[in-house]
Amino acid sequence: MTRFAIDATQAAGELADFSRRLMAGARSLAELEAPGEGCSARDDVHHEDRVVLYRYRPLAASAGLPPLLICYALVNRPYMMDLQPDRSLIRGLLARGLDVYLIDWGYPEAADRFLELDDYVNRYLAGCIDHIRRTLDVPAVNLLGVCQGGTLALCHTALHPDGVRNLVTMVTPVDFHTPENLLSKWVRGVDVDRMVEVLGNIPGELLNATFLSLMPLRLSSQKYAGIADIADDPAALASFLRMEKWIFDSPDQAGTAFAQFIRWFFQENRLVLGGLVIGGRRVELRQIDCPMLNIHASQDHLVPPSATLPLRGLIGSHDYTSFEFDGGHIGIYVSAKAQVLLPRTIAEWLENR
Amino acid sequence: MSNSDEFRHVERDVPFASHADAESAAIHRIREFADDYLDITRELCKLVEAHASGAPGAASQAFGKGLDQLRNALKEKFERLYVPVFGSLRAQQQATEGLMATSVRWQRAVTRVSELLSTVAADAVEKLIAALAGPDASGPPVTSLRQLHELWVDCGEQAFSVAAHCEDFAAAQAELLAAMVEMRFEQRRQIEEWARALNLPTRGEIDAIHRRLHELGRVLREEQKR
Repeated sequence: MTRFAIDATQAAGELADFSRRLMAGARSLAELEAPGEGCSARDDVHHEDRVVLYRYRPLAASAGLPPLLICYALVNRPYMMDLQPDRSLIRGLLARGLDVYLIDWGYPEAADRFLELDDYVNRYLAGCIDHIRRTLDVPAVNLLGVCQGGTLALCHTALHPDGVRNLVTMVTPVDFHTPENLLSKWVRGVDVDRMVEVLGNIPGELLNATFLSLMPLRLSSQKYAGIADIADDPAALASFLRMEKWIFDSPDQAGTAFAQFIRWFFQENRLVLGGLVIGGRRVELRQIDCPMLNIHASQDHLVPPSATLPLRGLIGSHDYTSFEFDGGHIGIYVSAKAQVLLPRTIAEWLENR
Repeated sequence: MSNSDEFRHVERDVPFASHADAESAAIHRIREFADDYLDITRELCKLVEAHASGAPGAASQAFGKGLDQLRNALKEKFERLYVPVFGSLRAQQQATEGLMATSVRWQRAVTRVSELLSTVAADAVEKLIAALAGPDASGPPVTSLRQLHELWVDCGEQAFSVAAHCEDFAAAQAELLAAMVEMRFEQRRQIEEWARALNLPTRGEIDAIHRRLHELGRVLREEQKR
């Protein structure tokens, strides 16, 4: 018994049709304008070195909540949070009356090679929070950390609990040594200090190639074969192009900070096992006593649920909420269901605190 | 060692009597290397042909072993191309040899990863055959190339996931990266030698300035806080 039931004549026709549609899709993509970065109106309100803090213009009456600061990862660009009007977590939050700020870490250059995690956690992130507190005259902000940005947000909150009223983490790795964590297995044998000594800043292309090689067929041939399905749909092609731009828009990583992150988190799992010291101060998750919402994606191949769920037992706060999104690491930002579900979940959780 | 081999060694060890002698000896050595190189290339062609016509599995191991032998032979011939020297030239030769060694290491690492990926591909094909016509094959009939491609992607990702989680794979990836880094280090070291000779700034010097600037910035911020 075989399931193989492809008729040769039909297959030849299918192949010809597929090629025609793929070419049409490729032609249309070539004619599309280069996508911009983000879609919502915003103002840059604070700078430090290459780091820019943006404040988004309101889309609805204020909900009266403390400002929400989004701390994105260093490894990709933050406009994933505001990709296009119908795929924007930020617009969803603005529509619910939240006052949204976003940190853009910028593109590190050769002169930034010696930036440390201390600079990111205790200087840049702290500087943005201080700016918001000072200019709005509020005692604390709500902090939303995304992916690696969530890990930085956890470190910051543990070190400076006074400035954070509520902490939300999204697809944030905490325990880097769980069996499902493929990325962690791959980097554990890497001599990252030597790598940085020789390469300086770590090229974004190198990281991108690594991320894509975690699921090599799905993220290459299958994805591009899908162009044939949307060849006649300009809006879908435009969305595809925005995603492509985002995926390959990978900033280089400041060498020293990168080495510290790989060694301390991926290789030595210090956030869980202890011994993490940033800027001369010990980071202890038990110091986090504010309310926490931890959002993870059930099919996340980059940050598997097992990597983020242990957070509950590590923080000092008794007000801990876990929310599972049915999707993957990218779908949690851009899928249709995420657009409704996540802003509502975050806004309602904040309103109740 | 054959008579001709002995002759070549003796000839190489004799100090050059004059510039013309040196030139002719160098040309001779280059010709000799070119002959050896052609021999190795012919052997490589034979090896590839034999591998292409043979069965996978055991043949793959023999192929890898054959490649290693040819690589070692090439390395040896290449080393003989260079005259043992002394003084500052010796350091240059050692640097060149260092670069070659990292290049060989890199090629070995690429070969190792390629071998592992070949195993993944073979496993993916087995999975695809099993999914289509194996005793446990279930699901609707596959009636289009697109459905076949989807099934291939599923089987490929399953096979890759199994392999990618193994220690062997992680070790091969880490070695590939380390080999690339060391090759880059040797390349940069040679380029920086040239740059220094021309009084041009080097990456190392600029890094040192950036480090100082970073430290000064930190000191300045601490002073401003006080």
